[in-house]
Amino acid sequence: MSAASSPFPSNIVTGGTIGSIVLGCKLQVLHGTPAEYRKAEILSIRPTPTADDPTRCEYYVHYSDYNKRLDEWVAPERLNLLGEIEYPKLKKPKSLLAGVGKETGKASEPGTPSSRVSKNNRKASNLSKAASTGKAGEAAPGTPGAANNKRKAAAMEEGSASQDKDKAGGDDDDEDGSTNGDATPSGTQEEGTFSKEQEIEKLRTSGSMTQNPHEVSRVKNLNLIQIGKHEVETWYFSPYPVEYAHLPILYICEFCLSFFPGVKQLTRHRHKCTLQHPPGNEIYRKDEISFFEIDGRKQKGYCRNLCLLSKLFLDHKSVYYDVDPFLFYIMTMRDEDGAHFVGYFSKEKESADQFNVACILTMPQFQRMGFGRLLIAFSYELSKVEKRLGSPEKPLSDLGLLSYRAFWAETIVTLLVEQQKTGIELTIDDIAQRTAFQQMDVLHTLQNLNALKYYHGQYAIVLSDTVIKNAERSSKKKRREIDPKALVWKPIHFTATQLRFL
Amino acid sequence: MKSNVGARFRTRKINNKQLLRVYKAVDIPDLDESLNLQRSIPQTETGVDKEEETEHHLQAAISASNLSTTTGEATALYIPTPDASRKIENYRQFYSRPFTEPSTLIRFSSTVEDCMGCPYNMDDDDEKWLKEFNVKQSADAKLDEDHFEMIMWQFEKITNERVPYLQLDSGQIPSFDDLRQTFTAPSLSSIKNIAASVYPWWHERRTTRGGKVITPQLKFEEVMRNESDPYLCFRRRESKPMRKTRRADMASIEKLRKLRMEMESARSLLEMVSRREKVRKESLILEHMIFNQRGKVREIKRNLGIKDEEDDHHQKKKIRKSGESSATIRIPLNFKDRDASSQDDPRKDRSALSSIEAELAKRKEEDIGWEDLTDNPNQQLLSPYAQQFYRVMPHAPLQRTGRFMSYRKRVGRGGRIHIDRQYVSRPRSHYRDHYQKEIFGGQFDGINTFDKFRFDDDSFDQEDIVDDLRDGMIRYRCTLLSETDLRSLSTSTRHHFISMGHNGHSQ
Repeated sequence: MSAASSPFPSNIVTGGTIGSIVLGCKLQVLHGTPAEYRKAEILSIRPTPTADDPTRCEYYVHYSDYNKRLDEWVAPERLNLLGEIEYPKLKKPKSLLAGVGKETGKASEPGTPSSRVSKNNRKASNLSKAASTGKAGEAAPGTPGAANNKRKAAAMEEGSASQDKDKAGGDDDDEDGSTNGDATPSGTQEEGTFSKEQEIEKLRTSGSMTQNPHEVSRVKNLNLIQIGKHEVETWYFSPYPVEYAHLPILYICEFCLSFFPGVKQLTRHRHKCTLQHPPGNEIYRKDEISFFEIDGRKQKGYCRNLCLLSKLFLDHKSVYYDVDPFLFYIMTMRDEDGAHFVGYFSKEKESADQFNVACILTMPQFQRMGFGRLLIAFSYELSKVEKRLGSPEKPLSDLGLLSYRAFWAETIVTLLVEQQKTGIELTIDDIAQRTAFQQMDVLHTLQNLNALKYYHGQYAIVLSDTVIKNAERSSKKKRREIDPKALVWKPIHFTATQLRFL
Repeated sequence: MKSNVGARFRTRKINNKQLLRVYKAVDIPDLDESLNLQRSIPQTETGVDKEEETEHHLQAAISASNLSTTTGEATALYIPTPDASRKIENYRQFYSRPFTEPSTLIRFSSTVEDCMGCPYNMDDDDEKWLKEFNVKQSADAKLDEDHFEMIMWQFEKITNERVPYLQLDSGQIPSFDDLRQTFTAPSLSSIKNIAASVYPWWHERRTTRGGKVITPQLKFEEVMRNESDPYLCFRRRESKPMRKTRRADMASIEKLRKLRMEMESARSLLEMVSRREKVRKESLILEHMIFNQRGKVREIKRNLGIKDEEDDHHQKKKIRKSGESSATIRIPLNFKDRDASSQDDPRKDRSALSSIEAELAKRKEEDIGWEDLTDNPNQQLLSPYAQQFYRVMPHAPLQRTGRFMSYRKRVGRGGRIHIDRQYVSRPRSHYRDHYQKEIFGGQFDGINTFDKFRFDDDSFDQEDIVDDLRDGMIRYRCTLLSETDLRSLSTSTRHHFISMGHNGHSQ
């Protein structure tokens, strides 16, 4: 391959043939409507032979600076072969490291992320997710060999590289380099193992939002699901049985969330399935919206199906461990056919970090209709009943961040406008207690509203006209709200022994 | 010294407990925006993964929302997501069961598996095979889809139970004869025979799957250690080892010991009860025997004409005795019984209370229109009637005037105590003097003489008129009763009238 033999540091080639496109190279790809070229990385290649061209392939690309959910299979015609093609960096064996290692280390684009990763890893904080290492892997130079589809998890090795940083000398490429070809030095293997254990430990001790860093999972395995009356394109990889990977459509029963590869099986299943609402206790009902509470331990089948389904739309969700330690709150919308699954959030039975939400999802077919807001509001209503402050588990997705920010801002501004009328001073703690938001989230929101000011020698909250106007405008909007009176719920307390056998 | 802005605003970090006043920006035009450096406020993290934070669409959306807070421009900017807007046409084909919602909140505890019926769902291949099979069958021996699935599931279930690792050696697929024996349930026995025709099809499918279950399953368990298979999910969590401490051990040992002791005492109690009942039963049998024997004896006696007093006496005693000991277990009085037994007393109390209350209410009614000026709630009882009179102080020295000092106590306004005094001439001597002068001509030889002759007066004709209400007489009468007499005469206001009556009577 040209990449393997190309001299460093420059590995950018202008122009090439379709045959020179390998895994990991970056080039301009036509995207969107109206179509325009955008830099993208090739993550996978699959042969799609036609009568005209038996060697025809399709390419799975990730657009730079776009979310992974926009990754897609593209026809070769959409690749800009005339433009620049950036090949993945050459990997050097360790013996060559001494002279050039540092240089390439600095030049390499992912230098910063990986060092950040290492910090996260050592911190072993719950907030630092394996996801970040996964992402670092993505940003890190890929493996040059096109045939080397089963690349090792670069991220893991980078994690370990930072562990023995004195040895690696700050270079993150060397570990990756060792995966080049089949000759894998045993040292790397050990380190990989070590960091995997670390990874698992982190999964065990932290909540639910860690990402599987494996290479296979970078390419989504399903394209389309049919659930209820909707056809929904999937966003991310989800470990449905490998036999179902790359099916044109996966059929999902909208009540029990069982999945089927064909219409016949779905028809047969629907013929027998009697479920018409989530299999749990209804704890809230207002108008057509209901919430059902489900214990992961008691409804394993359902909750596993639910996790698999939501994994299709949540990048950072982990399905590494079983569903036992979580409670699931399912939001449904009722009509004459039953209570349809709209969205859900899961919650640890016992959260060490005061998280009141582990994963939260509105099904894509119901997004941008205010349901996310309802889910968030409901999660805080539960926290209010528990008399605790809560915050969603991190990392948040981009959509999650926007939803939460909007909800926080609206709730806090409404509260502050009322408070302003009374003229009584209040503390951040007060706001937290009245909303069940954690203080950090309150502070975060006040900063985003640009409301924290220094006035007459002390801090004050200043609401600008636009903030007040925005709040008025959104309060006039007609939309669904959570009615605390419709919630019939007592927090379930689990004994130490119940939580022990998770 | 320094008029540096930065120095002036080197403020402490904002604190969660700091009181903040809320202003509208319009109300404080003097707010100096330029001084508002955000640096003393800790920068919080967004919570989004660092690598994703820089993503194009997120940044665009964030800046749009920032723009709307600063300029008020409402720009609804969405992060693009893959399409989810398509709907299927044949929804009714799958979902046709009408839903009636209960009026109360749904309580539901059966598992999904309970609601799904037969877990095997036939696919297109099965359908094709079944159609071909049914063509060959006679009209009454056709196999319907439900039964086909039941047979397939039975094969699958038994195979999974018996040979869970079939995929490792697909030669171990059970034979039909093995599987046939499991068709024992009533619902299965009718399809036992037709299952023989399905078996080859099932065998074929299972073989093509390499021995694996026909319906693909999720991968739960790691076959190889440290294999990072992305399709592996829902691993079992190792149970956290319970922290063992000496104290926890001791506590549980103590609990167990206590439990054991309680159980043992309960057991011995029951044992004793059962022993008692056995003894009682024995005694009843014996009594019965005695009764019978006694009857016989009496009969014999009657026949022989013997009259025995002692026997009758014994009989009576016996009866009384049996009446004393009841045959049932006596349960100790519990609270309820105790309540019932003491039911009478509270009722009495209650009637007394209610009369008091009625009295109070009556008082209140009478007091309407009157203002209560008593500032001292502790009103003293009226002193006994008798004590309201002057009394002689027995041991007080004689005054020069030859009179005794007498006093009375009374309570004035506001609880003030007045002691009024009065001098009384020596009553007895006065009386005696009077008589002595008259009768004995001034010779006085003591009280005895006087008393002796007091009623020995012969001169009845000569009516001696005595005025009882004369001051001297009254004064004298005051001295007749000593302090203790007075006290015993009246103790409370209730006796007020009695003592007055008594006084009146004595007068």
